[in-house]
Amino acid sequence: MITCSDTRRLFDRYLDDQLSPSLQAELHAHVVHCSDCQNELAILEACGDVVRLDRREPVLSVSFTDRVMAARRAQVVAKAPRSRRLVYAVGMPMAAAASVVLAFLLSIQGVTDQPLQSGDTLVAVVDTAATAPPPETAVAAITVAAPVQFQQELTKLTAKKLAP
Amino acid sequence: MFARRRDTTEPSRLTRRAEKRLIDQARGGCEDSARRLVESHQDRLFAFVWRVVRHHHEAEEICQEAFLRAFGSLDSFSAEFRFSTWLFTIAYRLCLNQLRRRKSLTGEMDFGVLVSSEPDASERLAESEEARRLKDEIWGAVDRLSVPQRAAVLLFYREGLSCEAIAATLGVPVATAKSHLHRARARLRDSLAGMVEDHSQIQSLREAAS
Repeated sequence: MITCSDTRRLFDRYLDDQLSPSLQAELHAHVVHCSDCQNELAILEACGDVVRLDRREPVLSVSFTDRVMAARRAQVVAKAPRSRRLVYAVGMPMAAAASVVLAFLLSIQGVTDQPLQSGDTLVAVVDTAATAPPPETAVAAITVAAPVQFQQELTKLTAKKLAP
Repeated sequence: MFARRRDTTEPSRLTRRAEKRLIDQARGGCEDSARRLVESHQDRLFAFVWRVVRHHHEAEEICQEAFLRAFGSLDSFSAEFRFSTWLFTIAYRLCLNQLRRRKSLTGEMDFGVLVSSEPDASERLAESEEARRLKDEIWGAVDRLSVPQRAAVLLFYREGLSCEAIAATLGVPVATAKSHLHRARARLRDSLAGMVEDHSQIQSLREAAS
């Protein structure tokens, strides 16, 4: 039979689940008959039980997950290559500006003799107003993929359209 | 007494395979997968961090930063580790930084007295006065441990980590991790030795805890 000090030296390995079956049996045999060792082991086991099972921590804010995801999106944008960041920083406002110009052009289409027909393109509207359509009008049909160019072309064409 | 319950596997925890799939998808930019990784780890991570720093707002900030750092270097994540181990490692370092910063501001490091959590009233009423007193004594003793000892105890009992995994999380050799855990037990035993007058109190405590 092992002594009290031997038994206590085994407690850590026992609680770490690293005690061989034979030593576990020795430890059990001692603890059953020794109330001091029994109490000491019981206190250690009770500590483990409370830490494992007593979940009285406060809870996370409801918005936590959304906050993390929003911060992650910002992180992804910040880490994106410079060219892509340029698209976000410059391209988006330019596209928005192009939309405004487009809306303006459509709003003044009533000045022309022929109303805008369904299926007509912006180029068609401009062509009807201009006596000699410049060859670059085709550029206006391209689109929002090149917002700067598009905006310049639209401005040019609008000036022609408004000229007496 | 001898029925030790170290198995802390919870149904909500991701399997290794599911975790790997989510990490691969998150690497590819899938936001839903990243969100699932956050949702499946956030509560456990927060509980650990809060127990270490004992401050709600700081704990949330640390958790958020830990997730962002983990996602920010997802490309270098090695599949041989669990995502949770990696996340807890980052969070633990952030906790240490926060505690150092706090120490430099306040000049003291006795975190046990900084904040005390007030559990929900109905929860408190549901358990006996005696069991609650004993649980509070135990948490008080845990709070008085050093930070690495407290982290080792939480990772071992709450997260069910092995000494090797605890060592990886704390960034120390395995022998040091074991030493933290064993010294923590010795301090807990010494702190609590006078608390329990008879064995029946311990039994009632263990029943209340389970």
